[in-house]
Amino acid sequence: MPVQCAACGKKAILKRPKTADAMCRECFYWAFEEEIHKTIIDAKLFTPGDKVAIGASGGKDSTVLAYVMKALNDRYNYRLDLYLLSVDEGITGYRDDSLETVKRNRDQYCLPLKIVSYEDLYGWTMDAIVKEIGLKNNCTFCGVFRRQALDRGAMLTECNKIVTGHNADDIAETVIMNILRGDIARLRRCTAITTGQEGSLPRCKPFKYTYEKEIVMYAYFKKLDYFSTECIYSPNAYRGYARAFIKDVEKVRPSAIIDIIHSGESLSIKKDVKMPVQGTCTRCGYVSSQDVCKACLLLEGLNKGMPKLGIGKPHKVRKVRDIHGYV
Amino acid sequence: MCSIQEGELLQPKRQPSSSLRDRKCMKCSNEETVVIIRINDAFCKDCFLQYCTHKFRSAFGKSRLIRDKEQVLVAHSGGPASCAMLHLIQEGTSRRAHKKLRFSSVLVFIDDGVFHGLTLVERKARNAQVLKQLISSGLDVHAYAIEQVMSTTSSASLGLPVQAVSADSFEILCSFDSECKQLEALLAATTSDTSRQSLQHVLRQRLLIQVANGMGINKVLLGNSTTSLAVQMMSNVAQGRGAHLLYDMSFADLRSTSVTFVRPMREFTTHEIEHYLLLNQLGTIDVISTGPKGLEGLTSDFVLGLQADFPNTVSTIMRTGEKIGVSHSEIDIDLCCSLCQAPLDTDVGPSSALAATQFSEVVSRGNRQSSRCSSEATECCGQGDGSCQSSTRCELPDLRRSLCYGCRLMCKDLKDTSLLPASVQSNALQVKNRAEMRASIQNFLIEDDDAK
Ligand SMILES: [Zn+2]
Ligand SMILES: [Zn+2]
Ligand SMILES: [Zn+2]
Ligand SMILES: [Zn+2]
Repeated sequence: MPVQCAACGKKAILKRPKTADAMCRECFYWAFEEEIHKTIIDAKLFTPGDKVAIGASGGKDSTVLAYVMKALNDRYNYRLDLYLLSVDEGITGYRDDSLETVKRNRDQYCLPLKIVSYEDLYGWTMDAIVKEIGLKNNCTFCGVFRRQALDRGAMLTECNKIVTGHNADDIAETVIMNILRGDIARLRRCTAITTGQEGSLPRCKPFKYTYEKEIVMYAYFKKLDYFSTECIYSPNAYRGYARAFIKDVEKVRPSAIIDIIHSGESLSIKKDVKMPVQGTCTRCGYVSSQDVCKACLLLEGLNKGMPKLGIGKPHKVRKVRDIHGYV
Repeated sequence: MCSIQEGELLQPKRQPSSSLRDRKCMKCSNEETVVIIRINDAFCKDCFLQYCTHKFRSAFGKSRLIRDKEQVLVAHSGGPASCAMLHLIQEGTSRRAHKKLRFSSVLVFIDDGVFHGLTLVERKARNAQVLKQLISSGLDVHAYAIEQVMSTTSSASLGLPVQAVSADSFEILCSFDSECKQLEALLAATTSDTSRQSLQHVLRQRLLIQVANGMGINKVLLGNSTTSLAVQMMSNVAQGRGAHLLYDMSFADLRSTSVTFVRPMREFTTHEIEHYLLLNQLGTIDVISTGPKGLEGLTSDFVLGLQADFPNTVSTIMRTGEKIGVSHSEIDIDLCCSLCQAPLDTDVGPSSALAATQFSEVVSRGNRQSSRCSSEATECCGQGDGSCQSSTRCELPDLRRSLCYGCRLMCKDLKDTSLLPASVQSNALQVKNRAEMRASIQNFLIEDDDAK
């Protein structure tokens, strides 16, 4: 006898990674989308009239996000203006190919696309940065630059919110990472569904409770078009440990991903633990806990031929800058 | 989307390759170094032992938790950390001690043979071996069997053997036949190693509380090392127990209103404990060493594996843990988990992992219409007529409501929750009754705005 769908009783074709229930294709789509709808409604992520930039990398998460955001916006009449927003880091063989995917998504989903490039914003491509600094700290540059690039791109298209495709696995992994690194400030922030303080746009994660495996499953059955190559410059070994741990734990107890997020949500930080004070960068006006933001600092290092500037702990940076007379 | 955060690429330090050769003691420059601790500090024998004693006593001194001449229970598992702790206590209370520890200790051993699946013969042999060693310490020794946690008698008249151990009490430990069967049934009905392991932690802790209550003692010393606490912390995070980290790893665990658990070994790594035992020519008493299983075992492998490469791992985890507090400044006894007795962490609102999980279960099982009223659908036992409320034995929905997130997860793997100890059932009933009383007088209570 064929296995029955737990929801409708028809023939099941998959087992949900999240709940282990057997389901048919239609019921899985419905459950998957309905959960994201619930996440959006319960967390009050949007108000009618919002212009929302979907961070689109061409990868599976953001491709499925764009597809589902459009579907839910139509079905439940959120009345959102949706845009695809891509950052071109300038990585030959990775980003140029994935941008082709994003362009196809633009046509398939009929959503306007805005591409902002590191080259336009900062005068440097990642390829050029890697040539300058090697493969050791390149992700630091990329991460810092991307954060601002998404904001600037969103502002250029007059969007007031950004959604990203970070999924439950990513968030659980970040919780574990931040505990291992003792990063209390990030540990507290990383399970928030919306982040972004004054001066930057709010960023939301509609996939906060969505499993990576289910995103792949959804994309697979819907035959969505996405680009699946890892970034060629991504050698981050330490995060890899946390990732491997999450995968192992999920095998033993599938709910563990959500359980870790629950842990993260219910951690409260002791009152006497110092948190960095947020201000704005004196050069570019972007939010920063230092007087000059990390992006400006990294850029200064690149432009002055001292790419090490800005990498490392803030107090060390100050020392380097003092020695070299930079203000 | 690349999820690398800025700044996360500052990699932790890797293990320097250090050997004892050509090293001098960092304290006294003695050339006969015997151990390297922390990252790269070499110590000679005398300085290392002094360092241990100092660390042990200063933990008590700083906290001022235990009054002069207070009687405390010392839980002894027979393992290395317990053995080191017992030795440190004996040294600290001996007449020649420099800064004397001023409390008096009663040793408690819990025969947990049922957890390890030992036969009666094996249990008797083990008990005799461990208890003889403990008695030779000269301290009062009390022994209990873990199955006594299933006993229906209330804690005041627990009927546990509170007299000092004699040869007869080795036999008594194996005489709780019906409780033993109940516990075996409970363990057998638990379908995963992960849940069985965390159930065992909870039961051990409940029995210790009952024992302490029965003896009128309100401090219990536990032998958790830094290393085991760091592993437990990560494992608890993975099991949804993030809200309770402070209880699980602090020097003083205040979750129970009647008994405080104290962890004087929390600054000692397993490496330090090993060397402490070695240099004092002490062995461990217990021969059983089944490592943790399920998720806890996996976490243990993960943390110890990282620690081998990055020697700051354990200490960083502990430092993170120390900065995590508890949101409730005062524990409300009505809102504590009926199983692990930590404050409930389930009042979290609709935008939460808990609500998301409940919703997932409904949408993938229920029909499409019923999923709309998800919160009701998951809470009721299904009768819908309130019949589950009237039962004196707490049925699943009530029990579930009285459990914290982590204990609910555990009970999901339990085929029949009525197998849980009677004391858990009555705790749950009490939580429920208090909640109903509170609800009926809700409008007449003046809420403190700050408490919200
Ligand atoms: Zn179906
Ligand atoms: Zn700036
Ligand atoms: Zn020395
Ligand atoms: Zn609990």
